Amino acid sequence: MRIDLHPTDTYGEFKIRPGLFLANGTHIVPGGINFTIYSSGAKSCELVLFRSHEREPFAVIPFPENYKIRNVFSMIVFDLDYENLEYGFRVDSEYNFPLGNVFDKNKTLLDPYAKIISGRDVWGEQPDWSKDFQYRSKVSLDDFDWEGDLPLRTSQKELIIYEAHVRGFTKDESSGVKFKGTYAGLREKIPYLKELGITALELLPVFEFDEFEGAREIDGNKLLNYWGYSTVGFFAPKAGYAASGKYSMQVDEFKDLVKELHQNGIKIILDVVFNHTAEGNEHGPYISFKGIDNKTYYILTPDGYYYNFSGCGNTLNCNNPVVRSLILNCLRYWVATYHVDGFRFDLAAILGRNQDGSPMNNPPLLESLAYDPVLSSSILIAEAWDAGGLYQVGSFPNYGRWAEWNGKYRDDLRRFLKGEAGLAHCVAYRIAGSEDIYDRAWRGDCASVNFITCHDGFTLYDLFAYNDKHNEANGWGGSDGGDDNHSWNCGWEGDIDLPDDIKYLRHKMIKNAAAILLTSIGIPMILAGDEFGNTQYGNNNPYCQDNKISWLDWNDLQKNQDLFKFFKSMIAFRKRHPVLMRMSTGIPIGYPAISSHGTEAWQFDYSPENRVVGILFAGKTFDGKDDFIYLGVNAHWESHGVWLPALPKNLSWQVEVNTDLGDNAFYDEPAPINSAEKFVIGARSVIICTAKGV
Amino acid sequence: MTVTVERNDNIKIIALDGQIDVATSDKTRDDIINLLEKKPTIIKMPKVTYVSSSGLRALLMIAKTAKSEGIKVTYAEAIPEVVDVLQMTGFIKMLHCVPSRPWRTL
Repeated sequence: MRIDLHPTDTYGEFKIRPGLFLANGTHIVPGGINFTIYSSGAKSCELVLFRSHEREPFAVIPFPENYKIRNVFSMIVFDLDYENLEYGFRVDSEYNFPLGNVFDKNKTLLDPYAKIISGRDVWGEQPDWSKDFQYRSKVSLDDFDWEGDLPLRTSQKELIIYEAHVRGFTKDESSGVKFKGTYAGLREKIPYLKELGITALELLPVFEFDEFEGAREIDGNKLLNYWGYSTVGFFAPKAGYAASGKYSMQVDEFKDLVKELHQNGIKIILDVVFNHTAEGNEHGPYISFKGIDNKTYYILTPDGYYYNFSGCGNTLNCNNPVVRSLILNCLRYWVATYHVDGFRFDLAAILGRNQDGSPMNNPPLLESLAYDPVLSSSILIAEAWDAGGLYQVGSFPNYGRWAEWNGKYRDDLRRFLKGEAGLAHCVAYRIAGSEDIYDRAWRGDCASVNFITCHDGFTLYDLFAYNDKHNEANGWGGSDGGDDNHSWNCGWEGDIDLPDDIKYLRHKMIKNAAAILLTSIGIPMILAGDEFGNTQYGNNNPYCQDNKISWLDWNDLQKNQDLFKFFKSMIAFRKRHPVLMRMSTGIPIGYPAISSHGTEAWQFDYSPENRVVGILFAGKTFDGKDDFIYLGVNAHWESHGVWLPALPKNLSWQVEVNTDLGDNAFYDEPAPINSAEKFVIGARSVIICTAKGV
Repeated sequence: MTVTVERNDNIKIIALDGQIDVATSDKTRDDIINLLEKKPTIIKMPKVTYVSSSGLRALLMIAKTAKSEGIKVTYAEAIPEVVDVLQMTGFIKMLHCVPSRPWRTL
């Protein structure tokens, strides 16, 4: 029996004692629960205890004066039923808006370190807004039987990322799973992911958020905060994404998803939102941080208002030492207790802003994340811009550790594929790893996350089905969503009465994109559903659409088998060729590792009209033999003959992919090529050739 | 929660009645572990109305303890709501659960 775990005081019927001041949030200790909270300005603090879902607390326990060390309050309360417990804090001090102090002792506040949050236990269930404590902290059991699992140790070079929304992935009836729209439902689809061959699943935000934030009704449709880029609590998995959320078992359910992904060799990456919180600006609700320590957690103007670099009302004060610790603790928690393999940081440029909002040269937060021992093998991916105009693609403070969403890759590829002039040489750079942006000596092998589509914008099918966004259902009169889509509808807007030849061309365009993406140097990222032609009906910003616009329609998987088979074959192709993953152990004598070619071998055509790009990758196979891959892209609307670069004498070219061949774009058996003739690449087509021994 | 031995010959059948939650899980776990003998053991669940997070851990620890002693423990006849919880959280993969009454064949 430890001598520091017995009650020293009583408060009413409760036995209490000073708690663990170095802990954060709650911890179950023998006989009781430890509660610890920090606030730099609080004069007093109360612990407020509720039985699950009850409106009124069953106890309000003030932290006695001797339960406070400087700015930290800590107390152990004994004999609590932690499964049936919800708790919060009330913090009191002087209100002084210009100084950033907005304390309100009447507000019950969520624990910033809450590991389970109740209040939105079942997705879409109408909240009772008359309750003044909406998002309630709960105590979590941290133990789990991992059966030996740890974060996966495979190289980042092998990443093939698949970006998905937990709910949208299986919510539609066509998904065929039992627990639709949940972590458990996603787990049921792991065999599909394994068959496709992706190596990492990246989930849109899963930190607790409120789908009812900003909820509206447009034309009889309920619009919700479906994407969830608005964090309520950083340590809690979204309850409404758990089939077991109504039993508060989301922690176990999420961990089991991770465990089973790992058992199938698939890493998990979380899209994390640290740039702002759901508390909005001075008109927003008190949820947690605002009432606990406003000026610590938010970047404020000199007169106490909220800077809005996130475009969402407030900006988290990421480089304040206390907030920095919270973020670091949060990520360490997700790695150590959930075995998460990596993170993609939403509007990450904000993470490098100073406490006055200015960009920093050497932001302590980003440096800490890059060198943290627990995070040392975690994947760190930045969305390297913010809504305040800071654009850092290529210049994000990276410490040789951080990767970036390569927005240039997306834009250059889109424009080139649709046939714009003047992009061939840019595309050659993009395919070759964008070393003009990411100096390999400084940034390493995995800095560029290549993508053509992501959740933000058109799906790949829609990229070739719509010239214009169709966001009317979002209720903003079409003003929301980007206008720089670089899309092309192939001559027919949308799907109504779609002629067969247009459909054929669209499928070819999708295969062109997939073939290039999966041979490009860097980490490829695929938007979930693109592999079977999923449509959002031209909506390029369905953040609020919790319905068929966003949900994957798995019927398309059957309808568009050619696309699925092509993606699957291309993924397998990438995995067979170490040279595409910068894993080659050598280069064949007399060849550069990567070279660019035009219709003539070794002669790249830099003229603006050129729309033909040939890239030769030269390396070694896994068993040490010479490996050559020729990627030939013709984005022109006419066919072009190309000379393939000559191979060493013992090798000859064979074609494995030709997107001009419809359903047979990926050859079952590679076909030999007559090297005495030019190879004709069809209009708007991609070929991939490999070398074969003679 | 009551724990009753219904049969104890070549097999042992233990029947549970009630909820396995934070109030009962430790005692339920200890009671059942104390009843384990070197023979196939079936834990009848049809009268278990709810299993909480701590309840899941109790069921798992019973199974692990039994396994380490070479005893096969089978959970039988859980109601659909309980089976759902076991499935959602993945605990079902670490337990031997059957919907029917396996002792009829033993």
